[in-house]
Amino acid sequence: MILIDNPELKRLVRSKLRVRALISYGAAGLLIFGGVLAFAYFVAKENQHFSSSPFSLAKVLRDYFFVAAGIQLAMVSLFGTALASQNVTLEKERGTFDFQRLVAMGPWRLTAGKLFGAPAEALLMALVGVPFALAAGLGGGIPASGVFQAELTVFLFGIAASSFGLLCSSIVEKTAHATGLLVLAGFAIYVMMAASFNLNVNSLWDTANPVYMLKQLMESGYSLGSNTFHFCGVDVPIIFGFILLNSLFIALCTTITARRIAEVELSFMTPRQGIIAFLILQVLLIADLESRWHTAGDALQIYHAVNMPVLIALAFALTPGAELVRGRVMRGARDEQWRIVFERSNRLQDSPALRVVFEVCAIYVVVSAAYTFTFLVKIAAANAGDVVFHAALLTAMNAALGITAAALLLYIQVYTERGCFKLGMAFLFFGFILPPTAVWIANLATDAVKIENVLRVSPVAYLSGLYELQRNDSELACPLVIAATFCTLAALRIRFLLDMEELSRKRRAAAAQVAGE
Amino acid sequence: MIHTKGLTRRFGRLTAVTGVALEVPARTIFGFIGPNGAGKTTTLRMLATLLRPSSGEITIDGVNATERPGDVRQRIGYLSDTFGLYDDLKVWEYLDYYFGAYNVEATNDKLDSVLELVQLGHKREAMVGALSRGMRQRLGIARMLVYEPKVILLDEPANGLDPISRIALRDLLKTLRDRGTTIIVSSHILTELSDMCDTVGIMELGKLIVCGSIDKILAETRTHIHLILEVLGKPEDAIKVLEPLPGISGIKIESGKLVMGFTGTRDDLPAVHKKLVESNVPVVAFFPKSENLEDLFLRLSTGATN
Repeated sequence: MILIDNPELKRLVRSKLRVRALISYGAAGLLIFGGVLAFAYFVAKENQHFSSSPFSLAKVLRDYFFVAAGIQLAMVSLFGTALASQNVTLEKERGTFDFQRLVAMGPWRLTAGKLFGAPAEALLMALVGVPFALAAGLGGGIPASGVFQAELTVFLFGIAASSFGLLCSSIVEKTAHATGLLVLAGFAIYVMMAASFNLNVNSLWDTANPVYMLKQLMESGYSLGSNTFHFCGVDVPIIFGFILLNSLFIALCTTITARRIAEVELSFMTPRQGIIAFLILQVLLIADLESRWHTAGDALQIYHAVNMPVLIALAFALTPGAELVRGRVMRGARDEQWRIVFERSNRLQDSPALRVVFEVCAIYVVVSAAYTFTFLVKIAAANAGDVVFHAALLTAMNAALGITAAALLLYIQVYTERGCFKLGMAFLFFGFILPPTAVWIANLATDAVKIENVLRVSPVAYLSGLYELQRNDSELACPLVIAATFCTLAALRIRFLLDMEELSRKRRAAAAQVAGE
Repeated sequence: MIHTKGLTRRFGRLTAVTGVALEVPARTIFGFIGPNGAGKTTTLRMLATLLRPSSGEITIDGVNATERPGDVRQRIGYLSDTFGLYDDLKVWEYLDYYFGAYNVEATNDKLDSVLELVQLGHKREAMVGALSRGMRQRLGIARMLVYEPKVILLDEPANGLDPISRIALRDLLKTLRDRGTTIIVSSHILTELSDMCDTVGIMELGKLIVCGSIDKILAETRTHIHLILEVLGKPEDAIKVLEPLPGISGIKIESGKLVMGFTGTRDDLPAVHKKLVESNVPVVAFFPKSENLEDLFLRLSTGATN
C-alpha cells in the first residue's frame, strides 16, 4: 500500500507506461516468451525423430520453465539495471533533480519509488513471463513452491540489480558515466559470479548468485529448501542465504542512493551507516569462513584479504565533498585546523572520514584478535606462533591502509582543492603497484631477486606470504605500510601547522598595517 | 522570515559568496540584483538548502537551514533559472505528483484552483512538453502553490518570457505576497524588480553591497542630484552661467539638454534656477532627474564578476 501510494512510483509508471508503451512492451514480452515456447516445442517435436525416447510435453515444459526464468532474469537484471542507471542522471541533466531533492516526501520514499519505477518497462516484460513460467512449471510437474522460488529469485535479484543501477546513477553527474560505471562493475560482478558458480562448495556467498540458485533448483528436485549451506555451524536452506544477501545489498545500495539524493556534497554514508555495514560484513564473513574453509589458516587469510579493500573503500565512502572540508579548514581558528581530522561533528557529518575510519579500524582490530585467538586454538602447525604474529601485523597493516587512505583523501581535499576520488584512486593504485614493481626491477638489475623486499612494500604480496608461511617454515618480512601511515599523518599535521603559522603571520602583518594607517 | 549571517561559500579557490547578511521580513518581495557571476544563484541555492554553506548561518522561519535542511525544505519553494519539468506527464499529473510528494490531499477543486491561479486551467489535460515557455514558468510556480510554502525563491524567473507573460508573472507574485508568502526573486531585468519588490539587495563579487528599500537606498547612497536643464538657443550660454556656481559639476549636453550633477539639496535648487533667470537664460525646463533602480544599480555596481 505504501508503495502504491508512492508519488515517485506513480509518476514513473504514468510517464513510462502509457497505453501505447504498455501495449508495445506487453506485446514484446508475449512475443519473446511465446516465441521461445513455440520454438522449444517444435525443436522437441523434431528431435523425437532422432531420439529413441518418446515425445514428452512435460519434459519440454520443464526445460522451458528454466529458459523462461532465465529470460526473465536477463530482462530484470540487464534491461532493468540499464534503465535504473539512467534515472537520477537524467533528472540532473534535464534540471528536475533539484525539485526532487526539495520535495517533502524525503529521499528514502523517493528512492523506494525509483527502485520499482525506474525499471518499470523491464519489470512489465518480466511479469508477462510469469503466466508462461507458471503454466510451464505446473504443466511440467514442478511444484508451485518451486515456481514461486524461481520467480522470487528472478524478481528479488532484479530489484537488487536495479538498486545497483540507481546507485551508479546517483553518484555521477552524467548518464554516460553511470552507464560506464555499470558496465565496469557489471563485468567485475560477472567474473565473481562465474568464479563462485564453478566452486562445488555451497557457501553463503554463492547463494547471492541467481544463476546458481536456478541451477540448484533444477538439480535438487525443484525445491531450494532441501539444498543447504553451512553457516555458523548450522545447515541453512540456500533460499534464505539468497534473500539475506540480496536484501542486504538492496539496503546498502538504497542507503547510499538516498543519501546522494538528499545531500549530494556529503559522503556516501553517515558514520553510523558505515560502522553498521562494517559490523554486518564481519559477522557474515566470520560465520561463513568458519564453516567453509578446510583449514583455519586459509580462513584467516581470506578474512584479512576481504577486509583490506573494505577498509580502503570505507575511507572513500565516508569522505565528504572537497569544498565542505575546505570550508571547515579555512575557518582559521587554530584548534579547528587539527580538530577536523578527528571530528565527527554533527548528524550530517560534513567532517572528514578519519575519525570514523579510526573507529572502524578499532573494531576490526578487536574482531581480528578474537578470530586469531580461535585460530590459535585450532591450528596444529609447528609455526603457529609465527603465523599468529604475522596475522597481527596483517591486521595492523590493513588498519593502517584504511587510515592512510582516509588521511590521503583529506590531504588531497585540503591542498589540491579538487574532488579527491579520482586522485585518491590514482594514488592508491600507484601506491600498490609501483613500490613492488620498482623493488622487483631493482632486484633484477642486481641479479638477486629478494622476495622479502617485495613483501615489505606490497600489502598484497605480504597477504599472500601468509599463505606460504602456513605451509613452509619460511621467514616473512614485516610490511612497511604501517610506518608509511604514521609518516602520512605526521606530514598532514606538519602541513597544517605550517599553514597556521603563515595565516598568523599574515594576520599580524595586516594588523600592523591597520595600526600604521 | 529569512535571516542569514556571514553566509560564505567557496568552490575551490573561488569564493562565490562572502559574508552575506540578509534580513527579509515576512510577506515581502525581496529582489536580488547583480551582474552574472555576482553570487545570486549560489546564495539562492544555499537558501534553498541545495548547497551547504562553507560557513555562516541561515535561518528560515526560525529553522536553522544547515542543521535541519529537511524541515526547511517543507517551508520553501524554489524555481531555478534552468529548471526542467516532466514533459512526459499531463499538466494535472504533474501537479498531482507534487500533491503526493507533499502529502496534500489532491482533490479536483484544489487542482483546478491552483491551475486557475496561474491561468493554466484550460491546459489541464495537455502534455507538459507541449506548453510554451511562459506556461512552463507558470506551471513551475503552480507546483509550489500546491503546498503553499511560506517562502518562495525564484532565480531569474522572467528569463525568456514575452512582455505579457512577464506582466502575468509579476501580478502572480504580487498576489502571492498579498496572500502571505515571502518571496526572494533574482533578476537582471531591473524594471521588473522595481515594480514589485519591497526591498532589494545588490550583489557584486559575492558580496552584498547594499540592502534595503529602493527609496531608502537611493536616499542613503545618493551623493548628488542629477539636474536636467533645457534652454532655448545655445546651451553654451547656460553653461557659462552654471559653471561658476557652487555644487555644480560634470555638465554635459545630451540630446540638446544639459545634464549636470549638483551636490546641494533640493532646497538649494531654487537659487540655481533664480541665477539662470537673472542671467537671462531662456529656461524651458529645469528639474532634478528622478533615479530608478537601474540608475542605482549602475551607480553602485562596478560590473566586476568572479
